[in-house]
Amino acid sequence: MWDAGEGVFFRPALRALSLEGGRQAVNVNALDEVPDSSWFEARRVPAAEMSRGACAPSQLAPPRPWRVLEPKTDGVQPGLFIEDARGRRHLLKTDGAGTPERSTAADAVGAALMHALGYHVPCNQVVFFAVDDLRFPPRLRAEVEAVIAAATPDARGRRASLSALVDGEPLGPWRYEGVWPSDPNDRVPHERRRELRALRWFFAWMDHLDAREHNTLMVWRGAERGHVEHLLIDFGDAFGAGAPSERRRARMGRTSWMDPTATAEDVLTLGLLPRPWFVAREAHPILGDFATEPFDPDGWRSHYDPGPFARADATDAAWAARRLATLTDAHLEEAVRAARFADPSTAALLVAALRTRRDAILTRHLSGRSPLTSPRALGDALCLDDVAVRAGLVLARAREDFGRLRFPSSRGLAVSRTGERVCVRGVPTEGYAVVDVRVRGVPGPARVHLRDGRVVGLERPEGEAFP
Amino acid sequence: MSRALPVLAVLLFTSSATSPAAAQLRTTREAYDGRPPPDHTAEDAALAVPRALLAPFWGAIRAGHLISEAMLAPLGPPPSSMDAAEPAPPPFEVLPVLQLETERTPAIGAYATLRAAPWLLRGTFQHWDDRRLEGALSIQFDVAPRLSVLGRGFGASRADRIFHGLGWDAPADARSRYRHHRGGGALALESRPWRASRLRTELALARHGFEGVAWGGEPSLTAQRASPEGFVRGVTLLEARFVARLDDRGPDAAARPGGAIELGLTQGADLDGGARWLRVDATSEATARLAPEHDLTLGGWVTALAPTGGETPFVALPALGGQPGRLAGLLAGRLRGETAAVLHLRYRWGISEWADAALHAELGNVFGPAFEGFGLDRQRLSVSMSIDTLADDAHRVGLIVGFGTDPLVRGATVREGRVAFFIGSPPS
Repeated sequence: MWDAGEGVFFRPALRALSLEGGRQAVNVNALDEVPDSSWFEARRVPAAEMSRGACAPSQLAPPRPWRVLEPKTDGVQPGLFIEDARGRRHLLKTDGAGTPERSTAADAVGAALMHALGYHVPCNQVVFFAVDDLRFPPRLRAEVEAVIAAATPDARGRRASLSALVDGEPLGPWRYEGVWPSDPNDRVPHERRRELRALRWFFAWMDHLDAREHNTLMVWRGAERGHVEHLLIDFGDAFGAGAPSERRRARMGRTSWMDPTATAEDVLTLGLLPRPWFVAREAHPILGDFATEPFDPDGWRSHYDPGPFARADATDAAWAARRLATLTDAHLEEAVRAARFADPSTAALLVAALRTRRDAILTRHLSGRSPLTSPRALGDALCLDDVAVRAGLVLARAREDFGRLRFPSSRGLAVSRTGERVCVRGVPTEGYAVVDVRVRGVPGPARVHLRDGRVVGLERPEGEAFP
Repeated sequence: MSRALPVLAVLLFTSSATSPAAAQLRTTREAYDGRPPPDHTAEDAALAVPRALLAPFWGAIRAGHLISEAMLAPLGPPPSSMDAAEPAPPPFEVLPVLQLETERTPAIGAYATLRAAPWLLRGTFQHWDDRRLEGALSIQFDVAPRLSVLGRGFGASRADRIFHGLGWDAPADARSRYRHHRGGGALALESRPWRASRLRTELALARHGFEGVAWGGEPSLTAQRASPEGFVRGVTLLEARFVARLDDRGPDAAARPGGAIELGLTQGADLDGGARWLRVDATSEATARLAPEHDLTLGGWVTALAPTGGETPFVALPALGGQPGRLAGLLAGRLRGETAAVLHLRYRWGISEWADAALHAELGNVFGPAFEGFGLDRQRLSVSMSIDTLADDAHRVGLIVGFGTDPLVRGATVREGRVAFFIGSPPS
């Protein structure tokens, strides 16, 4: 309750009264990237490994029987804490009374996608079980029967999602704002962490509305000289969650629980402004309107802003787009395999929706800042990769590139392109140099700083005219 | 207290939320990777004075933030709203009640609900010094899924009641005030056979006492005019009521298109004065959906009271004002007569996930016995706008702004208005 009240009222009010202005993320290195930390790792997951998400191979298909330890007490969907035959513990959740397959699929696929994007998540997977797989004491019969009744039956068994309890000591949810004074490593205010600001676009992509602090977890890793790891958990409401009423469903993802600006506008205009939630849409029986709604990446809203989202700026969005561009169509197809839908057409629809929504984010946020990344110096050549071309948003042959030395002198540089790779030649190999590489049609250049022929920095100025 | 203030100030100043002042000082904490934070800009300098001016407001809200955290965080996370029916309401709730209304005594209080199926108990208490004290306790027992027995007891004393006289032409400047004491109870049987339709039989007994009091510079009723029937001696009303409503909408009828008709019959008696009467109420409304979250409703209400013996106490007469469908731009009890009719046009639209706004245009008035004096040119116009959450009375928050006019034949001059804000049930 407090989390909702805080997100709906206190945080926005305090933020407004603070007159914060535009403060950029601070945990960004000289190459405009987020360094690895207990929050994020810039991992590259091969497409073939996407479907297992954060699960180690040994964690897949937990051996039966499953011993029921206790019922899950919070949340809407019924669930159980279980221990598999190897002694590993999991949280078993069902789809409940909502859309069949969606919640369990979202939990597994959502975790796989967030893992590939670099976040720490638990090992989530869709499983099918038989009633006989469960071993439980008589006192838990009612809870177990409730879970069995809520688990969608299928030819493969009763459907559920299994979330492995993470190793280490759970310390509770982390906060989206401030730092945790008990953790001396926690030095960057969370609202100024780029990877948390960028969650706004990743959650928009998946339509993961429930950005509550309760869906986060801190875990103590290691022994005496360990560290706190920060996880995201529970993605069960992604991919078109329903709602108790048509009205609430129509607004989900399009406006937050409390949006004073939209409310004031709607009051003053008598509701005559065109709003996406005033338009009736057909809903897919499993994916709701996730696969059918027109997607506006910047117009998407979570239930309430946890803090970093409202502070996210174009640089954070561009970083999110570059991370998202690392997931190819093959990644998406393999990740969706984790959903284990009964009907392959549902999987195809989900892949198509993820692809369309990913491309909408990339199109929007790789066009406002330079899409050139990964600068590396090779003798007097400086090469970068064009993320937009790599993601298939534009064809390499449609690109026109320019190179210019800004420092120590100002002169044009020869430029060549091979597919997504753009190289300029004639870069000084001694002393300090600054080189601009620009793609026609994109407002600003990629500005690379070099010292003695080594790349030491990268900027992406916005809308700066080419000298 | 003097020691606590500096401690609170330090807590507020150094807490993890970004205080405008603390942000300026926390440079060592925010320094990352050896670089200074990019905050000390011209923008920061320009905002220093506005930030200082806003600091007290920030501090007040931050204090509320800390208090709410201490009180509410132990309750756990909010329920996920996904895919499921509304989470079951908690078995026990206590919620605040607040009523603020122009030209009325405000009230603060609490609303408590205890659910233990098939029993449902509700209690409400509202208070404001010695001018307003109200309490009620109701109990509902569900005999079957669509059949309930309801009991209610209440007691109230309010010194802000208004009386302008009886009839369609009661002038705006003839307002007088009185205190109304009442206490009693009711027993009802209610069946809900189909959608929002219902059949209800009720027997109510209440004792009413009155005294003239001045309020806010306005004269007491006894000083202004001859006392209406029953005012001096008080009355004890016994009423048997039967209501039948046919409504093709769901339980959240107000948020759906459809229609309803309702007929109410009341046999009443004043056990003290011996008067008897029969009252008939008829209501109809139809709602058309113009677009999602945009509805247009046309409705009407007609009521007629026919004495069957003696003179009916004024408090039992039909009254207008105070709520949508009853000339919401006027105060409750502004108009009284033996009969009344109101035509109501409502445009309602969604303004958030939880609230609607509505424009109400109403035409109506009270009249004499058997609609004596009725005429189109004797109608009054009421225009109001309301904002209301989509919730039951315990969880409602709303605002009503409106005005009412003199009768059309008197020029339809706007001389009365009303603004009300409430948490809980709306003022009446």
